[in-house]
Amino acid sequence: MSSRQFFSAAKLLQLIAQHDDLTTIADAVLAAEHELTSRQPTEIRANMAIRLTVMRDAISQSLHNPARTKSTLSGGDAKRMHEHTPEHNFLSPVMHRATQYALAVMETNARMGKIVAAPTAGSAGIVPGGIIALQEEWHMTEDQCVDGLLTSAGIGIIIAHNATFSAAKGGCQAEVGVSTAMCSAALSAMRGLSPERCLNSASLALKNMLGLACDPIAGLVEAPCVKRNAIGVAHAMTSAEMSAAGITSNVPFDEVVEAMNNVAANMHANIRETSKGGLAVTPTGKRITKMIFGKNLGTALAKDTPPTAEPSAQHSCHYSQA
Amino acid sequence: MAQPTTDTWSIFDVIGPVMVGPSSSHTAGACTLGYMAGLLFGHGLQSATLHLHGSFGEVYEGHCTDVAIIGGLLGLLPHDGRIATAYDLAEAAGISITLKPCHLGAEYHPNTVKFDLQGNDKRMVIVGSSLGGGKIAITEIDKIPVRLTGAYSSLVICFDEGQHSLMDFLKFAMEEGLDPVKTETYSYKNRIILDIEIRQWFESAIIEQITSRFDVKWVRYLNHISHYDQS
Ligand code: SF4
Repeated sequence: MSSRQFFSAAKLLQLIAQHDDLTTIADAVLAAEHELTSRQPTEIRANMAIRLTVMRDAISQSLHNPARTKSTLSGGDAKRMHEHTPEHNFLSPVMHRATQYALAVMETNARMGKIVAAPTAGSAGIVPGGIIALQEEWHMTEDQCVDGLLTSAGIGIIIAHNATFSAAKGGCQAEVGVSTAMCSAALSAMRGLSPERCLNSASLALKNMLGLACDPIAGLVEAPCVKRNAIGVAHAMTSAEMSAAGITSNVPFDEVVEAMNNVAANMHANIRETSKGGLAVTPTGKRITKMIFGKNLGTALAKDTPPTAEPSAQHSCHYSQA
Repeated sequence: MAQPTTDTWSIFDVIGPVMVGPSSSHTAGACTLGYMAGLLFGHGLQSATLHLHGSFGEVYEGHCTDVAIIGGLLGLLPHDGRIATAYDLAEAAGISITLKPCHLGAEYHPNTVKFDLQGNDKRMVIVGSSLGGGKIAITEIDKIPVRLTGAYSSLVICFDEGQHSLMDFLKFAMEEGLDPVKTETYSYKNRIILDIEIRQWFESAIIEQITSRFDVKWVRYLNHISHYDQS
């Protein structure tokens, strides 16, 4: 029997075409994981279902929490979005819900709460935000959500093998970019699109994230990360909807991943998780950094620099547990 | 050009790890690196100097990288909420910690830590990198280039050339009813590190037997680190 592992979208589609027992990406992902680890599909699904629970807990921990994090860079935005219910909303109900959930997961992450990296912690809000909002708004079953997670894992596996999830190597396209592709494919699968259409929505999402800088202020996974997840899930939904409308990416998924790799190779280290470029070195970014760490990372500090908070002890961790 | 990875990826590495925030590479991966280094060092750790290279050195405070590494050194895994108190735990255990942001060289992955571990008349210098999404690799042990990823359980034996051969250890493992799947040898000058992949769990008594029967520098059992586990 030939191997059911896949390292490219082309191989994934080929496997699905060749095997009668595989019709969806989720099926193929289960078969590959079973071959890799000998775990039974039922065990794998059950474990994924527990991850959904961890994701829901991460959402509920912050959805109604108005508190700012210790750094004061984030916190309370999930609640703000949740309570924002204007008569006319640019976002559809499912998209509006997804953005709240993405914010909530990321706020929980910033408070050192428990989350599921998907594929990383900095991008942990997008996949659960999309899947769980879709479940609630469109009344999907838990099994459909697990199928969604499996589909997103399949997209992630292809990227992991051919590019990277490391922002230190590939910038934020490797985190938020990748997770929008994963989420978009998951949502497409949950609404019943074909494997080709799922991969196509992943292509549309990832293409629009190529070159995204990783430039977190003060090195904290908060600004821009938290809000970037909310906009990221909306981006994933837009891609999925375009794919459902029959809009096709000119460049197939495998080549988009190659492009991502190529862009990563051309990215300056300053915008690859070193906090030496982009938003991190704006006057505001520097001022906040100084305020948080009592450390002057640059020369051009804004004039209104507030009195330095007590310089952090070298050993302290800047996250509150509360 | 970013190197395509040759490691295996389980879906639980992609939708996972289940972890305490805020960063998969700088918190979860850092913790796993500490955990592996702690296992490699073994008992009796008294002091640890952590040289943080690249992005690790730049942004460790914001990501609690130091806290996570120390938590790992003390045997905690990324989903363990006690990580947040790692400095207190280290102090209680009488382990002194020193942090040193550094530049090891361009050939190192930007998220790299060099551990200088000491205690009980022994010292070990271990280098490892966090590769993204919580994945890690130990790349150097006492100058010997290695690649230990925790992707499988293994018996790691360090000895000097001429003392023993690979076959001695394999024969021993077979006699003990173990099932070696794959071996890898690494060396620097005349020192050798042998990594024997073993699928099943085995008793620590085997380690003692190896230490008494063979003239080895050290032997460790590294249990496979799986992101399948979440509590
Ligand atoms: S900006 Fe950097 S730290 Fe923030 S989510 Fe993107 S890759 Fe992660």
